[in-house]
Amino acid sequence: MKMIKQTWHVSGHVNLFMGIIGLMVVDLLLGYNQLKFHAALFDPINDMGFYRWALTYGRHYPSNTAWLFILVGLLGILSVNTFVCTTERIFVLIKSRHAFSNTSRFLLRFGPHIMHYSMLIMFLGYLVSYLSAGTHMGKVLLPGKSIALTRPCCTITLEDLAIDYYGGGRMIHMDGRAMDVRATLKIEDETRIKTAVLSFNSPVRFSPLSIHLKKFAPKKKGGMERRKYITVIIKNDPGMKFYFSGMILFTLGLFMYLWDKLSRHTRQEDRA
Amino acid sequence: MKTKLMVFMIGCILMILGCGKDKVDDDPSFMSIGSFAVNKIDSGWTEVRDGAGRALVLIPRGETPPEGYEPWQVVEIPVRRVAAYGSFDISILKALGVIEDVLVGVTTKKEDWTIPEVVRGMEEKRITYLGNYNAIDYERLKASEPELVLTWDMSIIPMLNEMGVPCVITATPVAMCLNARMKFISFIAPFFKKEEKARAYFAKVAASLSRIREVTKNATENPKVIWGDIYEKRVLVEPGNAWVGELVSLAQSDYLFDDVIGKSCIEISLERFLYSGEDAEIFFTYRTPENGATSKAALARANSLIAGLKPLKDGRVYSPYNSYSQSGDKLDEILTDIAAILHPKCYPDHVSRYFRELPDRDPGA
Amino acid sequence: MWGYVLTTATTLNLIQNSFFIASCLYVAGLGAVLVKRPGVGGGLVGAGCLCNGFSLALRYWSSFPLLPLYQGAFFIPFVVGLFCTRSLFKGDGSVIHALLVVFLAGSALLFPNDFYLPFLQFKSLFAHGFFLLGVGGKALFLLSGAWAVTILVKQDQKDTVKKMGNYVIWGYFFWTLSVFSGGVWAYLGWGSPIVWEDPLLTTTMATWLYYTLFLHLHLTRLNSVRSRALLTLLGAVFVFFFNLVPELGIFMMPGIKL
Repeated sequence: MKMIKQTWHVSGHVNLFMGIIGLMVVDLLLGYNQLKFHAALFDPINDMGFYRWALTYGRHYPSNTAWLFILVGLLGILSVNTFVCTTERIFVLIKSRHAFSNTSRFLLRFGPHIMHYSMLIMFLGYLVSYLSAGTHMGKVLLPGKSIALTRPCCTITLEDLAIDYYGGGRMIHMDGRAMDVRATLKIEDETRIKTAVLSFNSPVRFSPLSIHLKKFAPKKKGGMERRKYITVIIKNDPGMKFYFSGMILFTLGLFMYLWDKLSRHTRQEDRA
Repeated sequence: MKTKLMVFMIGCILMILGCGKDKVDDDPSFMSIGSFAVNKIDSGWTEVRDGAGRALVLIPRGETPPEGYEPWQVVEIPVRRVAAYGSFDISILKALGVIEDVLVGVTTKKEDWTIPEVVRGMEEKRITYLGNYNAIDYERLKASEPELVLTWDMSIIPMLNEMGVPCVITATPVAMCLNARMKFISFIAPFFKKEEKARAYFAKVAASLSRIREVTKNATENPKVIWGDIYEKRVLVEPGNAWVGELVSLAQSDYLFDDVIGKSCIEISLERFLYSGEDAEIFFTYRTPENGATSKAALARANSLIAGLKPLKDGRVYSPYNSYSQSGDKLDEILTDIAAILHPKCYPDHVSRYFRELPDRDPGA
Repeated sequence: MWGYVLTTATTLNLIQNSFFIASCLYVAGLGAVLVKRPGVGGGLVGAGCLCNGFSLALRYWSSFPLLPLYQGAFFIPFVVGLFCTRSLFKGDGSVIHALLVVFLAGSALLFPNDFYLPFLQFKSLFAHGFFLLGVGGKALFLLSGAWAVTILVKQDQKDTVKKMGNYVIWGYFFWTLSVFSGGVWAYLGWGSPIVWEDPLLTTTMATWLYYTLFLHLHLTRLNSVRSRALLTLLGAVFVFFFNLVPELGIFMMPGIKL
């Protein structure tokens, strides 16, 4: 029991936190050069996921990828440390709740702890995403044509592809170039049919899939006539809900922290 | 003290791992070649990743396809019939020694070819002209019965899937660096079981690169170079991460678009191009003599915006011959050719075979 | 074609010239502060901000709804300049602030990186959020560095220490929102919260972690004013070298373009 308590205490110690963060900063700076000069080694993580990437690129190019493995390890230790440290402090805060003059001030003190826990939720999201997300790469859709997916089983048809080209004089270098791409997709499986418009940064969701526009042609008006088509990234990412929830909660915690800090500052000034 | 020592040691390990030199020789079981990859997954099976990030599995002819792959992902090797779009891809087939045996379809007309095997194949009707790359004739493609299509055009994938023909995208979203350009053959080789030939080719090109380093290391001049062109409103250049940019820097020269990063033939602003153009001594244009690059005056006439570039006024301008883009099998010669252009004093008797120095004016003008 | 080139050239010249004038005004403002005329200095830096703001508005106008790519270096001196003007008029600004504005404007002016053409993927509210919040974050981190120098030089004052801390906190706030905005944008555009292509993602995260560490310092004994000021200054240097410098281009001689 004593050993468990000691391990718990050590794993949540603030000095450990400082050390890990310091190492992570150094590690990330080393990673900068690797990503800058060897981006092709890391780009496949987006579609392969971390596990398959680690077995191929990661394992065979250790001098370039070691920083990322170290980063993941440090993130793991940081998660444990954050969980232990925050949980301890939450208990202390709850115990001292009577010291607060009103409930809102007491609740606002939870801001940093919400930030810490939501960071863990984000990490969990990334973990789920990079270990279990499925990606279909290089899927091409021509107007009127369909593609069939086997996992999960569904058919995607590009019903219409509308591309608007810029014709004004305001935007520099954009004359005659595509400004808006709207692809009308019909997605169907055994039980559902959905028609939706896909464009850049506006994916189409067909649970559990999300379809993102990657490329299209023709990009310019006139010139060499290219066939109309789009390529899409089809993703099944169960981690997405976690990391977005984490982001929202973190932002909430950050606002609470700032509100608490500003109201304390105002009170101090009033007293002065 | 212990903690400090540990932190120091971890720091040292990180530094060593992070700053260590790249491996010279790749592990043959997995190879990353720019955006491409080759992964030996099982006895006789190879998984490759093409330029669009699509995974294909290469299996020995007659074997049952492995589970988990869709039909379009399975390629039986050695491939016996290939249709190809890019001239560089086709010249790599030549380097592998399979061009006459496997090539059945191309998207360039006979008169534009400089590879004798292709010209001969087209004359003997073994190789079919499939039509312009923007509008290939699917009936002709079908009739040529390819087992594999090498292309940069992703829009033909749905049609090829319908035909049951696997295809490999050989274009990449970022420019190929010098190492990837030299090793691209190792990506194509497994389709034909010609890995040995690929290794020999790489060794040959690597040796020529070493020679270039050796010959140019004492060069006294450090010429400033730009590579690109202006087409109406579009300015296209070779970025610093492209193989030509790397080669220029390696051969004791100053590539002025070194800071530009992106895909090959990247589009940048006119102002940036002109800024470097006013400082450059050597200008490599994309235009061939057939596209109007017959002289400096002709280039200036074709696009008055580049008339003020220093190489057009008092420097050197080079235009590629058709053979340049069709000689991937002679990459060692191309690299040497470029080095000789940059440092003529280091290569006193060299005669360029892939680039032509443009005269000030067209003969007779 | 010439019409197109001329229109483009006119807008570009306006953008570049107004930024050049802004930089000159910043230098003049620094000069005024150096000769102990902080009010005049504030006015000149303020005028510089106006010109800088005009240049930025034009940049945005000529690329909106797309994002002006890699042009953060032109935006940061504007934000820093606004704070500097306020401080100089209030009488608590110092030569360090004016020097920071000049230094940042000079970096952008001499090493511009505005030659890439925008992509359609950059047409998103989240892309703009990522960019503008990031600019705000960087500017505030750099300003906190300027206050740190003031503390280190003058062995100063409770008030300045508080200001330095507030700039860090607000910088952290903007930086965090920028990172999240980038995450949402990456998901919408590429289907992944992290796009493993851009090396700046490592320095962005490193900066966030550095300031996370800083904000936790009160939990340790390393809490003296001097050590906090030193770490704030180190943070500002870190932000400059790892977040600003990678976005700068090659040296280009500035000047008025006609």
